[in-house]
Amino acid sequence: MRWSLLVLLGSLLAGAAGDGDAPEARPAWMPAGEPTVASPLPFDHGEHRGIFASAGIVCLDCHGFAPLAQAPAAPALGETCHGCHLQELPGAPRAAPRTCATCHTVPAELRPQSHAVAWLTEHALEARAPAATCRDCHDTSECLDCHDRRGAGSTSPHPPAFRAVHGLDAQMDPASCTSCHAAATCEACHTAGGMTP
Amino acid sequence: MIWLLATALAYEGEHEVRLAVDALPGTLGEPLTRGALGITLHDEGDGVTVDASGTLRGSTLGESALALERMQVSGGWGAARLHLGRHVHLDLRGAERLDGLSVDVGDGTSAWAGRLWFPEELDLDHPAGTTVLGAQVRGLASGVVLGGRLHGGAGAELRAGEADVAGRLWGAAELRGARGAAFSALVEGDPVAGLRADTRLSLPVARRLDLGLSGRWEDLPRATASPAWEAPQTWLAEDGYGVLAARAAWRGDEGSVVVEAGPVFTADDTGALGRLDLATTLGPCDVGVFGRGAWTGRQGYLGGGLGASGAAGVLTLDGDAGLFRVRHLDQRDSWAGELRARALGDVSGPEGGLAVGLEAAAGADRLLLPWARAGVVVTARSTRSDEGSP
Repeated sequence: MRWSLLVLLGSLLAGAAGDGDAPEARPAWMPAGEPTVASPLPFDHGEHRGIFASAGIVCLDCHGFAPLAQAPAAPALGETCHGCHLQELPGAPRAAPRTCATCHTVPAELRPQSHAVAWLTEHALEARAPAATCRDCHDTSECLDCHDRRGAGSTSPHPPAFRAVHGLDAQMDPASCTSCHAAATCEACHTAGGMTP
Repeated sequence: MIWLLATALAYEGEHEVRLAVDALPGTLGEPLTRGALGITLHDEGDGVTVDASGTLRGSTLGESALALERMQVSGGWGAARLHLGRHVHLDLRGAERLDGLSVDVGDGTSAWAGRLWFPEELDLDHPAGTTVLGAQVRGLASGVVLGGRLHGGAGAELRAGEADVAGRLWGAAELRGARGAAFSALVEGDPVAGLRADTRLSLPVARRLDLGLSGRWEDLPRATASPAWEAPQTWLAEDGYGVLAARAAWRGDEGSVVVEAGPVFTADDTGALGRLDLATTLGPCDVGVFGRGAWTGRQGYLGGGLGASGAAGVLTLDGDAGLFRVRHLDQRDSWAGELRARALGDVSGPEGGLAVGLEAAAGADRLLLPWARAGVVVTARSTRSDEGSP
């Protein structure tokens, strides 16, 4: 009985789209005259029909009870999508693309509000909290991918001109250096690089 | 690396190739050119994921012409994940770089063996890494306490190196109230090496205003089990030091203001550190103003600058500039300033994309010697075309 229901709901979802290129098109089950909304994501219901039916994903997993025009997507939408697309669900279909750009066509829109200009100095504090959510988006190696880059495309964690004044910071709070650097970092410039002490 | 590049070019799965080159015409008379080539391949089967990645860096500073920064293969089976090669490994203190093998089970248990290293080896040509064998057990838990959400963790780490055996106990807790109040505490200890403690309190005193206090005691450098892997802290503050800070943060729809300042004290010296950050949105741009200062004895600096970033279509631009007044460093007063700018064009879609970035920076150090740097980075990414259909 449950599977029949799922297949039925899957069929409804399939009927709801089949035309991902025009997400604001009227689903087959929606009475004429009901307002429709443009999907915030390039989502194709028809392409997902079989997957949803077999995984037990139903309409209400994404759509809330509110009229569609007022609630195009429930807050849990991310969890539903990421279950397969970030492989967070055991047995998630292998074919689900894992790249963020699959759905988020404008990567800049993914950036949390907190990641403003001052985030360069703020993020170290946030990242150390036990409940830090960095890894929701970032892999561990990404920390070092930025902190090690030191060149083109770098995202320097230090403010401009820090190189000129860092000696005093290191003298007063050396543990803040230790989280990334070994003492040999100092030697790299102050001996091999020919810099003055 | 050549094999990885050849494989990437013929690979039908998800992969990324990244090339970056930049040049400094002169840094105190030392011209420097450096480049990096990074390649990542990703594949996954039934319950098994495999990643292969490598980054090759070259520099004209130091005697090493080329260095392999990352070359790893990772595989996952259920909750277990294995990393082999030159990779990034998480210990109790954060990320470190390991040549060898590490195994993670869930979020808390891991074991690793190999040689620790650091990227400055490339410029220094000085192999200061150390061979280690380590294991870590960490437990994390969450619950509701006093009406707030409590996240807690405790862990232990043991590592044996070339010269020593080091063990650490670690505990951390964070309590977040429903109205935004937060308290966190962290303690890490080693009966021989010392103690590190860090506590922070943040209280919302108005709808968008938080006040905070924090205190740190630092007398425990990162565990190394080798004198070759010395931390700057070991010779800059051998007997430990403390940092106290008061903090005020206002965050609204229009922007945010954060001010933080407090004393730093050691057994025979005191000083102060402070910073100010303002951020707001002007049309399509995020704009920020920052200020920084530090003072100890007769030495100090005070300064700040501007930062801005914005996006238009596929183009992202950001830049910042800073100017500092330096007092009595090397027995003289001076100025130091820097200007940095970046532009990134990113054309990405579900099947892959291409990004091209340009970066330039110029400034004058506190000896008023000018310097400049410029570089380009190209990133190409492709995903197997048949992954788009279920």
